[in-house]
Amino acid sequence: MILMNSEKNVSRRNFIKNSSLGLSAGVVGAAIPSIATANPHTGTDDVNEKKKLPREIRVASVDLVGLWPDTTRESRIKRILERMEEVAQMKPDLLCLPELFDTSWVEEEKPLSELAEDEKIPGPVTSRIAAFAKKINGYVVCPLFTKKDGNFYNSSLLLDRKGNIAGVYHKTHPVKTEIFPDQAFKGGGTVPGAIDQPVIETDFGKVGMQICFDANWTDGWDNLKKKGADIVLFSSQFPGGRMLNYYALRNSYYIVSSTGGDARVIDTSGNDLKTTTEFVRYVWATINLEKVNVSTWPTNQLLPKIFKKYGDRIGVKVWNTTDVITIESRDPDLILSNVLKEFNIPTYAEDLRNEKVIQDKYRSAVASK
Amino acid sequence: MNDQTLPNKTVRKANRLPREVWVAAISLKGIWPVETMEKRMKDIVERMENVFAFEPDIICLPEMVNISWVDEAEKSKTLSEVAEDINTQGPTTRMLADIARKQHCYITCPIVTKENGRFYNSTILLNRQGNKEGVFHKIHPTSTEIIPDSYFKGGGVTPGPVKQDVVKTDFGNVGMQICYDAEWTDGWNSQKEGGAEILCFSSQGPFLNTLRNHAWLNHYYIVSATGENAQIIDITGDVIALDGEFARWVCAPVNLEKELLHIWPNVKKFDAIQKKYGRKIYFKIYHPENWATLESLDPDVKVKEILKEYEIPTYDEQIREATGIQNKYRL
Repeated sequence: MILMNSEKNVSRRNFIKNSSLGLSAGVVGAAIPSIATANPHTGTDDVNEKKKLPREIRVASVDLVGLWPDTTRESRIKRILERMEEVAQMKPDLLCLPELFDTSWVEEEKPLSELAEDEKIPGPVTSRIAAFAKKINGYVVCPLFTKKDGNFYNSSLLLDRKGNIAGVYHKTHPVKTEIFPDQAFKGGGTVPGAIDQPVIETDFGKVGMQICFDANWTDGWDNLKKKGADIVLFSSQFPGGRMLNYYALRNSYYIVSSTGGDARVIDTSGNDLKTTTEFVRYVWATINLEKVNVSTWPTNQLLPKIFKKYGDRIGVKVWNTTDVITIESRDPDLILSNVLKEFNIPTYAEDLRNEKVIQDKYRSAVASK
Repeated sequence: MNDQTLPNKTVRKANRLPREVWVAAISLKGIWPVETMEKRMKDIVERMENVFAFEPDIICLPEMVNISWVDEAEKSKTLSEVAEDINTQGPTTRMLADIARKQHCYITCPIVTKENGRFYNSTILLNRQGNKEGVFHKIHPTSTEIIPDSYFKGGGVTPGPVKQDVVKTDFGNVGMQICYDAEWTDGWNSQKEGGAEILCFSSQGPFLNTLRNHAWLNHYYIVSATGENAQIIDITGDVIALDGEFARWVCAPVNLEKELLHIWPNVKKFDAIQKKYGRKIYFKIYHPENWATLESLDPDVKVKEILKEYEIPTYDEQIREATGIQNKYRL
């Protein structure tokens, strides 16, 4: 994240703007008219709430392409709200916004003390996003500067369906120009957040968050897994590419990303489920949290028996790119853990843990001699 | 033949860049199951012959190349009968050592070995003279391989230590991993810490994206020979060559004079570097990940010297520096 303009610290925004390496779509002043505005039902997910399974939710995300650079913070907020309105028609339970959505690549410069908002009581920008969350009856990730105990943070606030602040995440790994005062930001710098940060309980499951440069470290992602995250929300300036696909598979959770270059929904198997395109700058997907990764081998041998007993009450997808099969319950009355127990199928993580116990036992037998 | 591996003419070693290494991998697909170990080795050698014209520096073969899905071995041979001594070359090792000598290349020889009364699922790296240059024992065998008489008759294999030495060759440092090792990061990280520049992966299963992740996580090339495919993977995780139905092998050059960089803020200097060095260097930008690679295409241009000249850290150096600053300022 580099925002400040100065000769010493040429901003990333202006550099990309003037560079042949820049994304052409990213420097267009106005948003590209959305095809899906006229017909929101362009995806495969319908909006029939009655058809939803108990742990099925709809996630959505918008990217920032076409909305940067921008002149003022007010203009940015207004335009992103317009984009949020487009995807709101899909009735998302969760909507993700990009890193520092109100100030990223915005020319109007203000000191951190004027931009940063409280982490408990919604400030002026948070309140507007909170009103939106309440209106759509969904959770919204609101990434902006926050202040706490006299320190500034690059944060994501999670707003609940009523518009209240349900939790906060502080970017664990800011770049150095964000940390050093008066480099990326006017009037101060941000403090790196703790590596051990909590997941946030929602009415559909546990949510974790990561921001931008965090993608270059595994610690925060692994920590969220240990704490039981079902979904990790990634707000960023840069897209993250294959790094995010890896973290999803490594930790068997969904990732919803919202960035300056794209927005994606990534499956627990590490495969992209949805991604924004130049024609539609938002994504939505219905995801089932009653779903696990299992090892492809030897689970593949059990599939015929599972199909025979449960038919389409169980959803199975064999991914040829990775080493996992995803299994989900497609029946409100069918608890997935019971099915796994019945067929003696460990989850992918359990399988690797079990195998390692045996490996370590036999390895240590050699070491002790 | 895979277009990416088709040379215009026979490659002369004299025409190569100083750190250009030609790597090859042979897939086992289509030649299993097979009845005898002799037939298996005959088939694999025939397939290896396809890459000889490239004058490869190293050829990577699939896991337990002489017994994987071989009826004779699975039904009637005990582990002690198929295992070869780690120090005294057995029949499979001798056969491949002979090829290594004749082709003047390194060859990975993945077989079951025995050492100090124990069995290991191993890869012996044979040098250009056909001698053992190094050995790697599979760190993470499956439980059925370990538990006696479960997968193998008459015993089980012992898991190798997590930390094992990389092998120094005349072209660079070679690391190795085998099959199920792909599911863990410890061995791959250890080989990186040991200085591996090329990682040879021998396996029954293909582990497609998993290998690609290990490559970018550790910034080394991976040469993979498995029961399902053969592939060469760039330090960024991109696939350089992948086998298919028209050629069950791959062979391609990889340039060890290449570094992974973080794009920001280093990209601000790329134009100046390109102007100075022209076609002597090549930048590749990975936009979504914010990475770049810089490689030298000229024998007299060293990447590290350019990075020093322009005060650009490698990706690892930049992340290390950032980690230090973050830890200092974290409350």
